[in-house]
Amino acid sequence: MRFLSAFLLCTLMLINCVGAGELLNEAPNDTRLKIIASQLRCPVCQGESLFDSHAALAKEMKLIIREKIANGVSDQDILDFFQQRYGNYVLMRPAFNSTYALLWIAPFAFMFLAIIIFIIKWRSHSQTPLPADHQQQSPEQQQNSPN
Amino acid sequence: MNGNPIEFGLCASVLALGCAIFAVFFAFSSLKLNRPALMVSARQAMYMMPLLITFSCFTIIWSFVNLDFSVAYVVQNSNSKLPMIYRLSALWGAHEGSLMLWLWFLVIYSALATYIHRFSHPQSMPYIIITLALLQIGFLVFILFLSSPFTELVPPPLEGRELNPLLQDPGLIFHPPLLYLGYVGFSVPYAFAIAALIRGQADGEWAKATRKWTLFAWIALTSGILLGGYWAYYELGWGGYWAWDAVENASLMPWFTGTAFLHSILVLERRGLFATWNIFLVLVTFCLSLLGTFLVRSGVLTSVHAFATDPSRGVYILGFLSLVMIVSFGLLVFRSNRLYTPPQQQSFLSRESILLLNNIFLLCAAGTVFLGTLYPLIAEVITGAKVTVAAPYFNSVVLPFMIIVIFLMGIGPVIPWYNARRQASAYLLRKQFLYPVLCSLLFIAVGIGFGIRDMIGLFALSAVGFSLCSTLLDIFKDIKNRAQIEQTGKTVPRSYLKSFWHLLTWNRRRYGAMIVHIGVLIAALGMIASGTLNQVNTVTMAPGDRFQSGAYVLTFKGIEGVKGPNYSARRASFLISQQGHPLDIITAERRSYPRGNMVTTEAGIRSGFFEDLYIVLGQETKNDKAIIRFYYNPLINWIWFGWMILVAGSLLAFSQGRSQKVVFTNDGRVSEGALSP
Repeated sequence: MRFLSAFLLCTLMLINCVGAGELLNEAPNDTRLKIIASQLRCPVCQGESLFDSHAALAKEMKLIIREKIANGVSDQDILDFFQQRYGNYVLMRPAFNSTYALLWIAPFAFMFLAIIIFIIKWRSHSQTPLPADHQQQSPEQQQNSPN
Repeated sequence: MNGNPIEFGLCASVLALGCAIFAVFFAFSSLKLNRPALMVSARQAMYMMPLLITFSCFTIIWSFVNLDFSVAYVVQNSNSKLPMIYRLSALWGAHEGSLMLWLWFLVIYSALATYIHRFSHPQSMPYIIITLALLQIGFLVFILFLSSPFTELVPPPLEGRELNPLLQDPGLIFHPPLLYLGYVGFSVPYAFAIAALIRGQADGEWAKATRKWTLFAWIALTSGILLGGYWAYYELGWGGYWAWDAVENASLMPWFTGTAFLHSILVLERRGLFATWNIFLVLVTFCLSLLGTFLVRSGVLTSVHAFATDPSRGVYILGFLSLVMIVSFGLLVFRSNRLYTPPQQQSFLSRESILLLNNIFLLCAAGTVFLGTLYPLIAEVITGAKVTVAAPYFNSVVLPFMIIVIFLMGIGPVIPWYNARRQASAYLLRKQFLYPVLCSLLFIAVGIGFGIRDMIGLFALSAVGFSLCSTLLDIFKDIKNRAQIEQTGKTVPRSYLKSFWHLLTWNRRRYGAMIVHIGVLIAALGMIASGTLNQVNTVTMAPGDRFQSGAYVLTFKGIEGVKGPNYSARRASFLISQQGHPLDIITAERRSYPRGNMVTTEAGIRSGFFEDLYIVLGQETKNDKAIIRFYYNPLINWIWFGWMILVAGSLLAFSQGRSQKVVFTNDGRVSEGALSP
């Protein structure tokens, strides 16, 4: 599956994406880097987080994050820094703002709506009396019935 | 014309287009003139299609095998160094060929459906043939006029380009055909649904005919998806198998709705309820399959601008898709009032209501995936802003729906049809669910014990515990009952094992489904554990360095250069040892393919029952050092074990012939009254 999309990416000449092997080695206290890099999207390999990505650009971005951590910048500020430069697009987890409101609300609204319709329909359905003629068989059924 | 085999293939495809038009024409006239004899011609045209298209596909494969560089598609996707096995499967390695594969499966399915149901569904058959043949025409026109794999190059180049190196893997041989077998398989139920809408008839007989086709397509689709995940896992080198990327999502949507349909059709078959709902699910499933194929193939998901680069293809795709959807849902809206559903007394606490609830949540999941996949596209068109909807969104919205579905999986199969309260007292129900609830608490405790802190992970674990216990208890109870019946009936004590065997062969549909559920639950366990407890470490290593991962010590042995048939590689070897005892040597590679100018990673994987060690070789630095990433993935193989169980169970359910009579009692189980004294 993924490789098919990777295939699409590659046809767009984003060759560096898969397997370029540009990983960044971890310093022992890089847990924060890991957390932050997982929340940012790699601009080259668009399905992957910065952390998973093997692209050279991702490595450089990770180096920037490391530098900022060393300078005492907070996690949120680092995320904001990248968001300012790359737009909402760079955040893996869409924030709850006007652009994304529908995205977050719709599934649950749909679920509640479906459940309410289900309950109403079920109630009304089970109260209707049985009509007399519903026993008749369809022609196909008659043809197929073994007897 | 110069006698090139591919030209005969093109001719065959053109003939096939004629054949499909012929079939539509004759099926239609048999309806209008009311002369069933004309159907013989229509049927024969349907039987011709697979012969013609198979021939066409073979000419393409033939060109690949003989490296006929006068064919543009061969030039784009192979070269003289490409191993034979990938030449054979290069047909579906790119856009044009994979649509050809779609068509190939479509004509085979159509001919089979025509043949199998020719006498059993005489009145629906004209509509079924017209629907299928129109779909074939839609694809053939696209293939012949807009995306032809038969194009020739004059003069032919001396050497071809490269099949995408990522695709040069045994996974290519199985994954796309399986996935397409699933997608296309929904075309037969779709044709049946269209026929049912036009004729205003969807009853138990309809359900029986569609169920098997759907089940087959579902098995193929499930296998295709999971095999794709496995392939991604060992080929792409990022330690995971599923990234919620658009292409994966495209295959997941029809899977959700197809799964929902497989459950709701039980209600139609058994109770005659939800006829419209069932048809709706079939239509949605097939439209999503089409959408999936086209979304992936048009490249529109990567960027809206993909449309701009080749507008004719995009416009055709959009037009075809809209036409299919308008016709399907238009028919549903205007004809569904003809479908008759007998109203009956129903209780909320009944199997049918649980099945419908399961449908609702599966549909919510499908809707969410749909929204999330298309949202960036819609946002870009409307606001021009590029937005990201990635794994974190899907994990936090789709997974809760799936957890609810898993809970319902433990309730639905064990409570009776009609009205659970009337038949089984509240006491019995409480007894039925006491152990599953305890088990789900136990699973949470064990999960916390292993260090899972993720809330969604813990909920998922409790759902799995609940359903697993409930399913196993139910099977065990049936076995016990049967063993007792047999003991009293024949006065010969039978073993539990033997009565289990009897149950399996007696009602293959029910116990097949139970086995499928167990498979799903085991796969879910694998997903939960590998998703919440995996570890990743990236380190710089010099030869001789060690790294501790779980209970294992990995020693880096060094890197050497290796040459493959069409690539050169750097191969790193690692010695794995446990408590000082050497266990295994695994190698991880980076391959570069000079012709395609691409680099791929071949991860080194040591698979075990409880965990995988997964090593990716990064770039090399000075002094023979290299950056290496270690993944520790617990229980990840359970996903594939679960898949195997699932396939076994669904094949068991599939094997139950239509002739076999199943006697149901009021509580929805197979009647054992016939056996009891």
